[in-house]
Amino acid sequence: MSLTDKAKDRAKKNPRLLLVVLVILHLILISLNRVPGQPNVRYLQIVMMAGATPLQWVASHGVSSIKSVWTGYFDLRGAKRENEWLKTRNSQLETQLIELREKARLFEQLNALNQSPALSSYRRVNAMVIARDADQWFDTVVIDRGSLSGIMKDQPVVTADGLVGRVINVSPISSRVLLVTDERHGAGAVVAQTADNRLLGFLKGKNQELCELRFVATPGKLENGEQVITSGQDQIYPKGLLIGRIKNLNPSGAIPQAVDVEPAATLQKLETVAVLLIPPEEVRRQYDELIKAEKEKEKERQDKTPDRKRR
Amino acid sequence: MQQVPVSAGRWLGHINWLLLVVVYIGLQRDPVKALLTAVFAGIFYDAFSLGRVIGVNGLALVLAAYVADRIAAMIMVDNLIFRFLAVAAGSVINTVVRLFFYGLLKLELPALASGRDIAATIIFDLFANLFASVLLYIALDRVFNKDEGQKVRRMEARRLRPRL
Repeated sequence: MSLTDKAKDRAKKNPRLLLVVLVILHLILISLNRVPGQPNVRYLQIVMMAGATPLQWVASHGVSSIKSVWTGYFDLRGAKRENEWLKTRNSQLETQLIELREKARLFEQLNALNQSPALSSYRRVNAMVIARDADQWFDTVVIDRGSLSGIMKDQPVVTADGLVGRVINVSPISSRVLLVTDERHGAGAVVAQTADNRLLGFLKGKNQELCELRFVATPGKLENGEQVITSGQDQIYPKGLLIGRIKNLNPSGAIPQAVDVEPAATLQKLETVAVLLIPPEEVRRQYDELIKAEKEKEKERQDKTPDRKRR
Repeated sequence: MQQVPVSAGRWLGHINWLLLVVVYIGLQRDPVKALLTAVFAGIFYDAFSLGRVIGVNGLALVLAAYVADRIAAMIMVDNLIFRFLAVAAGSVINTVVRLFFYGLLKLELPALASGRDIAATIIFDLFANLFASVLLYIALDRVFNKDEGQKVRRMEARRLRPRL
């Protein structure tokens, strides 16, 4: 057994001696802190500080580096979470914005329909276009109003810009509308040049963007952009609804028997329409009045012609 | 909302981790190891606490280690109450010794402002160390006594091994 082991054994058996030694050493150490006559100067402390400062510097920088990495990591995690939240919020707001823009557009369209002076004399129901015929042979749309809203077959459908078509099928909550561009669609039309000079014709769809106006008599003079309106002679549409404008007319050439008409309503982007709740009797009554007026005019003309002959 | 971390920080400041380690070693019934650990821990503590008196913490930890060793020598059963007793005694001795020497050396510390402050410091240190010791000693037990079960199993296997 070595000397150290012997001392260890003795200290283990009687630790009091070791304690006394250590306490005395510590008291000496503490007393070395003070310099006689200079209560504020502690030499041992200065020596220990000088020795410990590099270690402390390393420890402090190590800790601060770890701390900065740690906080950086958490900041990054926070930033990531915040970024995800902002992305979600942004997407929600974008959706809201799109919805609000859509509502504003629909409101504008409905407002235009309600404010339209041409339609003010008719009772009407506003409706939304909910479907469009996918088949290229048929130009029809489905609207979200039906017989429960007072809609009946053959009632005219319009926008603030002009005629859209007429109702061909009615269910309680929806209706199918035949557009003016459909081949099956026909309407009496006139080119409203002046009050006296009106070129009567018949409007027919071509399953294209444009319709065709066939004149009853050969017209004298025509120009591109002239308005085409309903004549009221088809017993479906009331008189005076704007259909569209003449297009693709060759100004230098001879005036043909039929011309292209561009619908005034944007049929490719239909969203809101109004169904004019005109009963068939009313249209018939208007038709009768029109025929009566035409007959009177004819009679007046005939009355004037013999006078001239007499002279 | 800011009060919680501030008060938690104050409580954490009262925990003397080195003291808890020294007491833990003191409870292992090896006085030499405990006292020498206390000396090194004290010097380490004083060296890194710039502006304090060298040796005071060493002395306080040596006394705490001795008390822990004496308690371990007197009570043979190793349980939680016995550990609490050692930590409490060590904590009170440590705080009292440090405050005594700091007062003697006329260090201006808030803890030494009045008798009430001294008492509050001793009590706060006591409770903080008791609370921290529960967590620390669980961790230390896991680290230092992890092979204990294996040792017992090995001994048991050796005992039961058929003699050739």
